[in-house]
Amino acid sequence: MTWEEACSFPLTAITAYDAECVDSRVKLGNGCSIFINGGSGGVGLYAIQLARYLVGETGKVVTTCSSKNVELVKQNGADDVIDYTTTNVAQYLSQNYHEHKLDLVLDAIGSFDIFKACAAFLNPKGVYLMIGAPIPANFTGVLTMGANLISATLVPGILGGVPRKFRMTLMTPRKHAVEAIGELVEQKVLKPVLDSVWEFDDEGMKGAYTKIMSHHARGKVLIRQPAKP
Amino acid sequence: MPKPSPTQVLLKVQATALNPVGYKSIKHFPGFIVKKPCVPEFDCSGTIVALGTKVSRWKVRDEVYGITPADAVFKTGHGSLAEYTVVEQDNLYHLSLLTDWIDVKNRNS
Repeated sequence: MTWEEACSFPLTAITAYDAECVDSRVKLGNGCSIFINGGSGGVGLYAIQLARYLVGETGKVVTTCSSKNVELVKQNGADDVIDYTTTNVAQYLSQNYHEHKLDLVLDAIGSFDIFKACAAFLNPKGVYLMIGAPIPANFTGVLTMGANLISATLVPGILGGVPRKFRMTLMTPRKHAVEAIGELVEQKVLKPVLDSVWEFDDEGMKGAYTKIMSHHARGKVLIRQPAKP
Repeated sequence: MPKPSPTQVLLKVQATALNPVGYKSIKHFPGFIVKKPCVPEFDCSGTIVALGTKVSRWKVRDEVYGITPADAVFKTGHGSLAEYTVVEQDNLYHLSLLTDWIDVKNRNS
């Protein structure tokens, strides 16, 4: 474990922990199934690792990523991987998880189209949890998101809304979560996944932010301070 | 350099992790939400160099990793992408508790 590896955990791992162990209020145990939308990002990879641990060998961890990251998410514990560049995710889930519905959806992307279809593949007692607050990039985006949120949270099933529980959470580092993540790292349930490490200089900053702003980082992007002379 | 509040420690930063919220907060958030100028980012690891007056869990030279939550960074402007940053004592974890922790003080790669 290096400074960079340790540093990759707090925000993303606590987000995953809060989502799977606290905010969802769904008890994820052996044999449960979970869908993580956005598996190859910072939150996604740690959410997959933690989910694998929680649902055990008999459980199911379903996730999405692009073609080039399929192996990466599998290595981290996913067992059903949907390539969103070639497959309609909502349709795939509706077809494959209609019989044995999923217990929890963690959406780290903010795909309201998947939410709207989720009654077909999410257990009636399950929860659709949007995590990591996908922040819109412009004013129109804010309005669309607002409209989507209002419809997701306020329109009941009987009036044409989605008949599943929708929650949106922002992580708050609480002492017990910080401790729990430390223990999970210690037990190697959570293993660091670094996209890249950059230096604390102009070139490094440019490279690191270009990477994170591309939305295609595989794991965490780190910046390190110069070593002591 | 930020001053630690009674419950915070001052860290000499070794590494900072980037998160999408970091650049969005600089690029898209108006001044009434994020204090400008704002040092971005939330995750860090490093060595404790000073303690707030009420900090009892930690001592100077402890090696830790931790987080300052977004709302606190937005309010104070003191994020973790810096040589020094402040972190609440309860948001830190001791690196020496990780058995495979290697202290790469003299790394030169």
